[in-house]
Amino acid sequence: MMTGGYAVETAGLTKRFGDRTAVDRVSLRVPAGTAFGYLGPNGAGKTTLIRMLLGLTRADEGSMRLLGYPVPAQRAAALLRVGAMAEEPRFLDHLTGRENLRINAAARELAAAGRIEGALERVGLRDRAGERVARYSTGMRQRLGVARCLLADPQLLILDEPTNGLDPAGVVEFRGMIASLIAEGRTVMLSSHLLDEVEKICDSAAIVDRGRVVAQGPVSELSAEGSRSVVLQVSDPGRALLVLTGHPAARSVSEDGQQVRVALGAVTGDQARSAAADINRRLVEQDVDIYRLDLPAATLEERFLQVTHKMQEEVAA
Amino acid sequence: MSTIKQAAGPARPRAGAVTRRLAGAEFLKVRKRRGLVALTAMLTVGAVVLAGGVLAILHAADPAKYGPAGGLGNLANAGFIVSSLGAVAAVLVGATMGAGDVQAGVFRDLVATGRSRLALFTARIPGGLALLWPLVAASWAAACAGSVLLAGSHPRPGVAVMIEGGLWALLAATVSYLMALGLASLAGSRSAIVATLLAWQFALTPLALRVSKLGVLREGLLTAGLDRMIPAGLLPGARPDPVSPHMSVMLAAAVITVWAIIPLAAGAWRTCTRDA
Repeated sequence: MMTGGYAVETAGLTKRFGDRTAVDRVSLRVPAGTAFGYLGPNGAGKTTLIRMLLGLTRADEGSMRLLGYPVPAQRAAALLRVGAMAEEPRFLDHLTGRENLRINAAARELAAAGRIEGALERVGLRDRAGERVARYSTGMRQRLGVARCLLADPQLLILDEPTNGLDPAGVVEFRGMIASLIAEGRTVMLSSHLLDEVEKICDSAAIVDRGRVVAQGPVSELSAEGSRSVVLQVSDPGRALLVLTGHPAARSVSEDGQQVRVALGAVTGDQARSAAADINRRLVEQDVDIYRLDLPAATLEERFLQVTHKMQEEVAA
Repeated sequence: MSTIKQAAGPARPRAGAVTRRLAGAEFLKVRKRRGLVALTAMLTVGAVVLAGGVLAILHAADPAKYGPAGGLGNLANAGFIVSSLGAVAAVLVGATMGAGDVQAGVFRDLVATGRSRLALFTARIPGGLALLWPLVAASWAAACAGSVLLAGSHPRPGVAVMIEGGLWALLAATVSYLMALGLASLAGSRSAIVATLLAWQFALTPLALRVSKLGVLREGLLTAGLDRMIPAGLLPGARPDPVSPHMSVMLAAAVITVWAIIPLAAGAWRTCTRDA
């Protein structure tokens, strides 16, 4: 039994390519049995981190453990129960889907070969498994990639941008598949630049930018820490703009036709509600009719933009 | 915090069983490349059957002008065909085995299984030979059968020379295969290694063998070593252009071994160190 409860642990993990630091002292803890999002814009170093975890490239500094095993010291033991899709799934196009799985199973433990049919069934490819992969659509390749992960009977699934190239229906189907894997108690580490995807699938997440983890925690807490806004529809937007400019809670005020948006910055729910009430009162006092006042729930997207913009500002400074 | 069961560590099956599984997977990869298999078969069995067939037709059409298609002399000529075109086939198969996974992008998925890179590399050796050896052996068997059945008035080859010739043809193909496998694994490119090796073996080496100023250095060329290993019974037909320097069998064996081992070691090193 493993003493800790983390499927993935990294400490100070760093990877440099020449002068560029692709992964910069990343320390992560992915709780076992949860879905963890590794969220960042393209080029943030998400794939490089995954490649280090899987032993595809060497880390320059730091340490990591997968399922309790140190990597790379006990890489074989660590990866025994890890299924991974690094970048877009690639296959030998001249072989069938089933044959591609046979190739991968041969490199795993003996029991992996016995999991091929079950894995194909699970991803809905059993009827097409005898066709050459060259004829597969992007969605079928993604599903075959998941089937390849299942050959490990994985305790940990590492999926790198798994919905890239899928149409909306494919994305929904894929999410369902991932959700069912999580429901079985498997740990899923999902790397993505799609905020919506992480928000819908993951329990916790880390936001990464320029190789550095800039925020980490449960998705609900990360979202709550995001910037919030008050959105108003009023009789006189120009006058509302004048009234609200300089409001102590407002970080910025903008007007777009009939709509006025007051950005509050990173505030708690109570602070946001209090600010909205005060904005309402001030407008009424100035004879501005309010047709509608919204205080949208904070989203991971707002938090993401906030922390990545902050990074950009720091870099520019 | 939840706890998770730690995998009990990889089961330790016998190394031989793992190697057999991996080699079987490598063989699957190569035998399903229909174009490569067809080309390899043409260069080995096809070439011998074609050459023997043409000689048989010529003999049937004009026996006074063209001798029988079989016999020891024609077996020696077939030896030249099998060793030369067999080497070409070996280079094609070896380069495909060496660079195929990297070029297709599946090498990383195999590495991500946790299997050692050296084991993945080593499995390519028997995997490709499982395709190459039967075809080279079949082509030599066809040559032997033709040399006996179509000998006519020519002397028939003995069993010993047929066996020795077969082993020599397999040796020539194997060394070329190992060179191509190692170099393609090193470079990660199939086409570049095919072009380079074919140019080296069939254009530059024959030229180098003719440069007498190179003196004893010519003994270090692979062709010189392989020529020294030609069974005496097949000379001179199996070596129509006798320019190779004379050398001892031991030295020839050492030269052949070095030409096989160094590219292979380089390929293994690169496979173990490259970013997957």
